[in-house]
Amino acid sequence: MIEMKGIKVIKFLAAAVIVFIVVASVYMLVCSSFMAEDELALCYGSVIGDKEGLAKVSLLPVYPTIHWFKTLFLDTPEFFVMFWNSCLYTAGVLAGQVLIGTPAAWAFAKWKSKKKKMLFGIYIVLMVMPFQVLMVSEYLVLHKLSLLDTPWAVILPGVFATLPVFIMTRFFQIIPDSLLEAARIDGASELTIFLKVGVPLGKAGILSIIVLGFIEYWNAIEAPLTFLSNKALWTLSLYIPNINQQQAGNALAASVVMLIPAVLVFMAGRDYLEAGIAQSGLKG
Amino acid sequence: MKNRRLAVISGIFLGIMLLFTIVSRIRNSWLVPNVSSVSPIKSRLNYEVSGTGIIDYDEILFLSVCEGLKVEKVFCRTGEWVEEGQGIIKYEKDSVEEALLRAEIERREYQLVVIGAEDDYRELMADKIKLMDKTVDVLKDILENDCVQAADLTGYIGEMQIQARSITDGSEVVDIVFGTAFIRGTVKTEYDSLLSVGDAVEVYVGNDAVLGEVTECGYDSGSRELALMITLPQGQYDYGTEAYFSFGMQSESYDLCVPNTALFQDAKGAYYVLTVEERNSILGNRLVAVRKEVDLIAQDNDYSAVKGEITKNDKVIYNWDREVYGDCPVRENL
Repeated sequence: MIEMKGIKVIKFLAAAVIVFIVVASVYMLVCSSFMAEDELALCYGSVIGDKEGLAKVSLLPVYPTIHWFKTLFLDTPEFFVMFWNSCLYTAGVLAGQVLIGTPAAWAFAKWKSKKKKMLFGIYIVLMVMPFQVLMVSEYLVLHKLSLLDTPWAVILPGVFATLPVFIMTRFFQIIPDSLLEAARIDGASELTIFLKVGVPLGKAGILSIIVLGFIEYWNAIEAPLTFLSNKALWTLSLYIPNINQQQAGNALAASVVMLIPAVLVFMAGRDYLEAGIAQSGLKG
Repeated sequence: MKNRRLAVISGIFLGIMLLFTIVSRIRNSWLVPNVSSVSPIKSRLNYEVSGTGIIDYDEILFLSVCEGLKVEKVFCRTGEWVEEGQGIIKYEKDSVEEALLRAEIERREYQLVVIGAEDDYRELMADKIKLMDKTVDVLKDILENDCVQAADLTGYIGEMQIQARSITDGSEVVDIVFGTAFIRGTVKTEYDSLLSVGDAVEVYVGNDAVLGEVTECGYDSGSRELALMITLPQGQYDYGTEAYFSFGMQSESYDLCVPNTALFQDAKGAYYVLTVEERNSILGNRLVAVRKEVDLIAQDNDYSAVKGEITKNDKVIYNWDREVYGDCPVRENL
C-alpha cells in the first residue's frame, strides 16, 4: 500500500516537472513577446546575440510594450502570407486525409480481402518511416509530376499519409460487424453503410485525426522546406527561423500568434485527440 | 456550448488576421519607394568647364614720376582708357620749376664729379647723369605742357598711386597697360587631360561674348588647380574687369555611363549604384534595389562613367520618391 502511494507521488512529481517545463517555456515566450528590444538583449543577449554569460529569466517585462505585435501586424505582410499558406496547406491536407483516408481505413477495417493484411503491413512500415527516409523518393515523384514549388507538393504527400488511416482503421474496427450485417439485410449498399453507419460511428476517429493532423501540419517544417523553394509559398514555421537576431521580438510575437490556432484546435478536440492517441497507441 | 464558443473565438481570430493581412499589405504597398531606372549607356562625357578671370594686358609702360612735385589734379583712375597725349596728372607750377632747378643742379654736380673720376666711378656717375637727363626732360615736358603729365601711348591706366594734393616722392607707380588682352583663371585639375594650348574658349565680357584661345595651361601649386591663360582677340576690353569663360569638350567613349544621381557613395567613400532586380520573396516576386559596387572613372555634369559589378543590361535607379537602400523593395515608374 505504501509502495503504491510512493509510486503515485513519484508519478505526480514527474508529471509536475514536465508540466512546469512546458508551462514555463510558454509563459516565457508570451512574456518575452512584450519586452522591449533593450530588455530582450539584456535578458537573452547571450542566447540570441553576441553577449557573453547566461540568459536572465525575467518573470515579467519591466516596461511591457506591444511594439513587436504592432510591427508584426502592421509592418510585416510576409507573416500573413505565411499564415494563410499554413492555413491552406493544413486545411488541404486535413480535407484530403478525411476524403481519402476515411474510405481507406473503412476498407482496411471492414472489407474482406486476402491481401488486406499485407497492404496494412506496408502501411504500418511506411508509417514508422521518418520523413527523411521518404524525402528523396517523394521529391522525385513530385518532380516527375511537376508539382514541386506548388502547394500540392506539401498537400498531396500529407493527404496520403498513413497514420490517419491507421488511427481510423482502429476506430472502425470497433464497430460491430453485426450492425453492418443488419444494414445489409435492410438493403443498404456498401456506400450507404459507409456513409450512414461507418462515418457517424467513426466520428471520434475522424475528429482525432483532424486534431492530430492539424498539430502536425501546422508545425510542419521539413516538407515545405524540401519541396518549396518559392518563398511566397512558405509556411509560418519556416518564417520564424528566418527572422534575424535584431528581430528576435518579432519572432517571439509571431510564435505567440502561431500558437493561438493550435491552442484553439487542441481545446476543441482535446477529447478526440486523447481517444486518437489511445486508439493508435494503447489499443494497437 | 464549449465548441460553439471556441468556434466564435476562432472566427474572430481569423477575422482579425484577415483584417491585418489587408492593412499590412496596404501599408507596405504605400511605403514602397517609387523609383525610376535606366540602363547604363555607352557614351562620351561632355564637360562644360567654366571660370572667371580678370582682364589684363600683356604690355605695360611705367610713367616717370619725379620727386617733390605737388599734385594739383589727377585726371584718370585705374582702369581708365587714355589716348596718347591725354593729360593724366597736373602738378603745381612752382613745384615743377623747383624740381627742375633741383634736377639741373644735381645733374651739374654729377657732371663736375665725373671729371677726373676713376673709370668705375665715372660709369656710375654717367648712369646718374643719364637719369637726371631723363628727369630734366620729363620736367621740361611737363612745364611745356602746362604742368600736365600726359600719356605716352594709348592704353588703360594699370595703376595710379598718385593722389591729388599730395607731394610725390618718386616711388609712386603710374602705368599704362596695352597690347594683347588676356584673362587668367583656374579649373579643376581633372580636366588636365582634356585641355591643351590652342583650345578655343568662349569668354563673356559683360554681355558680349568673344572667342578666346588658351595660351597657357599648367598646374598651379597654390590653388592646386589647373591654371589657364586665355588670350582675347584684338579689341578693347575694360582692364581689371571680371570676365566669365566657359568651354565644352568631349571625353573618350565609356561603355557604362549612368546619371550622376544614380551614383551613391557610402561612409567609407566607396561608390555604388542601386539596380532594380526581381527577386522571389515571401510576398511573391518583388522588385528590390540591389547594391552594386562600382569604380568612378570620370564624371561630367550629368553622367558618370563607371566600371564594376554592373552590366549594360542592369536597370540603375536614378530617381526615387523615398529613401532607397540595398535590398529594399521598390516600385518602378514605367
